[in-house]
Amino acid sequence: MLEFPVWNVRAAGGGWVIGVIAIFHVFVAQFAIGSGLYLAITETLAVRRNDQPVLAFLRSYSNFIMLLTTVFGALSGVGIWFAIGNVNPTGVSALIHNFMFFWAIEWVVFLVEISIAFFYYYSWGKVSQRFHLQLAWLYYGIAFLSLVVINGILTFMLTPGDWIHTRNIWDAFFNPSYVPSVIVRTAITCSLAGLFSIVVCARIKEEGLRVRMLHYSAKWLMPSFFLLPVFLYWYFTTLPPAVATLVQNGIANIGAGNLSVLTRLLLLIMLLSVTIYVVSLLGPFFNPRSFSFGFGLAILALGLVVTGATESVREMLRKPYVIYDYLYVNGALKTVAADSSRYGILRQNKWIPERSITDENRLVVGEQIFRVQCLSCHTPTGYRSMTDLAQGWDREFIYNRIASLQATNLMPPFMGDDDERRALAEYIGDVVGAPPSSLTAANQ
Amino acid sequence: MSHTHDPNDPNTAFLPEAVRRRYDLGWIIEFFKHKQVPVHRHSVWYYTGGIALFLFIVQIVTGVLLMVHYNPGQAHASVQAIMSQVDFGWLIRSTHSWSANLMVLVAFIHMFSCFFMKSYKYPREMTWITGFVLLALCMAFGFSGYLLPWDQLAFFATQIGVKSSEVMPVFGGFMADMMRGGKELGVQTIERFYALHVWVLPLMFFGVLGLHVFFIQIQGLHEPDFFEKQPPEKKRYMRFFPDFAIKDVYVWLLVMNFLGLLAVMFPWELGEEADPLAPAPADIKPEWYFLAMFQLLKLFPAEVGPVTGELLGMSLFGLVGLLWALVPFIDSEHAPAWRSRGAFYFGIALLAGMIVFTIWGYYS
Repeated sequence: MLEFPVWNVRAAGGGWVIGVIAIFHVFVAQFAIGSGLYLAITETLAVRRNDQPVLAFLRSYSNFIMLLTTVFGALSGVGIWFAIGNVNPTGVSALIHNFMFFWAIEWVVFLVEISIAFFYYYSWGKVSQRFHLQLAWLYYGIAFLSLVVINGILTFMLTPGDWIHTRNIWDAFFNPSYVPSVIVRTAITCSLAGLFSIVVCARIKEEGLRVRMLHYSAKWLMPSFFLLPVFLYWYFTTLPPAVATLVQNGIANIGAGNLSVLTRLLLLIMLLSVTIYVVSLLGPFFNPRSFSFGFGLAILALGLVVTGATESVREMLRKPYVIYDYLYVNGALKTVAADSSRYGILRQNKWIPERSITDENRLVVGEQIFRVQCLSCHTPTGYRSMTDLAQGWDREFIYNRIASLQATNLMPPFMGDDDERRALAEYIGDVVGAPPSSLTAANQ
Repeated sequence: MSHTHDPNDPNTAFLPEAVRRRYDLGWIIEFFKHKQVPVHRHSVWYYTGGIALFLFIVQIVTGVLLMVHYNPGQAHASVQAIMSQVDFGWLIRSTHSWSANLMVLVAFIHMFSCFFMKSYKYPREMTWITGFVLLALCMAFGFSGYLLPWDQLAFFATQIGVKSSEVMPVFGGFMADMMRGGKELGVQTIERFYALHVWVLPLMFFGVLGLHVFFIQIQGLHEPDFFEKQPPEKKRYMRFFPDFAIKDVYVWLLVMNFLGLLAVMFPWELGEEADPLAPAPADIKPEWYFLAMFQLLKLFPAEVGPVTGELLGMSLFGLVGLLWALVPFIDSEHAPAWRSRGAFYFGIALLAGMIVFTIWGYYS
């Protein structure tokens, strides 16, 4: 398990690096899919009505879509791989080993998607209208396929379902939350297509066309406003019972003083989503004439915050696992972790130079252990820091607490023997400024 | 008004007939239809007044909800219950506190934006003065509300604040005693501040706010010089209703979201219950909008000739405040150019001073 080196991102922590890249990537990637449907449907309608101004607009809009999705989408996608591979190599390794074939399909799909996007844009006016329309629908089909594939892998991490027992790849891919998740994300892609289009359409110079396109684009948000709550409810019914309880508690406790991050994020998601829909209804839908670019950008920014908050909630629900009920965030398999105290970090991890713990190297080894066991979620003094969480604890308490991390239901077991636990406790004690114990006193 | 009641006025066609037959409302719609908002590169500042108004409405709604559970006799315990037991209490209180601070901030921004666009000039002197009074009332709201949770910081900061009014000659001591309800801060102080906060100040605020908004409605929005000097065909206007009104609604919704984000992600904290006998915590500071004055006061020597430095400082603040309130009469309609320029530099100096001293006060 613990055979990888670690990436130390200092104050921010690796989680934030993944988070920031992933949120922007998901935002753009889902737009890429939704915009495919937007282009296909809008072009079909425009061709049918021989609406030249709209076709001219779509041509320039598809330039924006092509650039945004192929440049930013592709770069940030690689960025995610870079970040997750560094922060949680064991998790990525497990996903690659399981889904080898699906990843291969996904990358082929990406390649085809990008090629068609280029082809679609550069063939405006150069191929027959009919063929160009076919390209539009082909682009959407392929883009949607990329969601169909990646969704299996993403949902697997939270709901591996029968795969835990059968180890059958189809059980892993078509896991319990697979179908509702595809539907939820499809609805989101349509909303994002509407949201981005509102921003872009607000900049159209010719007033008649701007008003028409703003009104039309706002329609793209409406179905999912009413359907998403239903789909989300369906999605939540497929979650593991422990996770479902967590969400229910989050929702039920929104009122009564419970300030868990989950609860607060859920509240925020509701508030922001309602605002996005109300503004797009009042503005581009009913009063497109006076709707300006600035307000469009503002609701797009709200959309970004909602995306970030929703993805964080989804990630948070998985705690303390990377793959639910199978692999912990600290890289330990659940089956191995069952007997965690007999597991030796120094014995197993070839990246820690020290092979044994002595009075002299206890603190150094403690820090190394912190890196391999804690750093994927915590930092010493920055984000989710020891100075915050273990403030005021003495070394003995820290030592005992490490043994009972699992009781929090949010943390994996500590994978190490008694000496290693003591070394980690000494290191954390030093970080939080706890008074020296007999061990450190003897050493000094 | 030479106007007859026409139940079939097309302006009121959207209302039910029962209403149209009884009430003459067409002129209101007519009025708003003709109202216009100038469109220019500084139009964005026109939103600040609306935002301050929105935040005030949030204050009333959340304030009334807090009143349901707040008990001045058991101030700290009741706020603690609001935070931990009352459904959504934590959210309402956090929203109230964040919104209060944002309201003061936005009111300041609104004031300075009006100042630099010279909106205070003839014929809008009274709009400026009522606005000035509103800002002063906002700060009084902040000062009185800050004490109500009765935690350590609130207690000691208020103690210093009230004490500083003692330096005023003749009636200073009397005023401080009136505020405290005696020589020391106690339950009777909370009760007084509470009455001030939920009755006296709101009544005054409503009255002055009504006048302020009324003046703006009948005089229309001020057009800055550069806009007014343009030839008529170059001037662009936006209809107040529905175009500007709907934009106001977007802005309000966005502000509400920002407020929600702050309240949800950074809930307002409640310190330990105030203990008058405990030593004052180190570096007690007032709320940020008093920080600049607080920091400046520290620079005065204890005694300047026959008077205390504190009195001198407070008198200086009074003088600057008076000048500021009366600026429409100093930089009046036919004032020479040097006065107009002087007013501008006075504004720049005041703004810069406030920013610098606030930051200095925060970090010192």
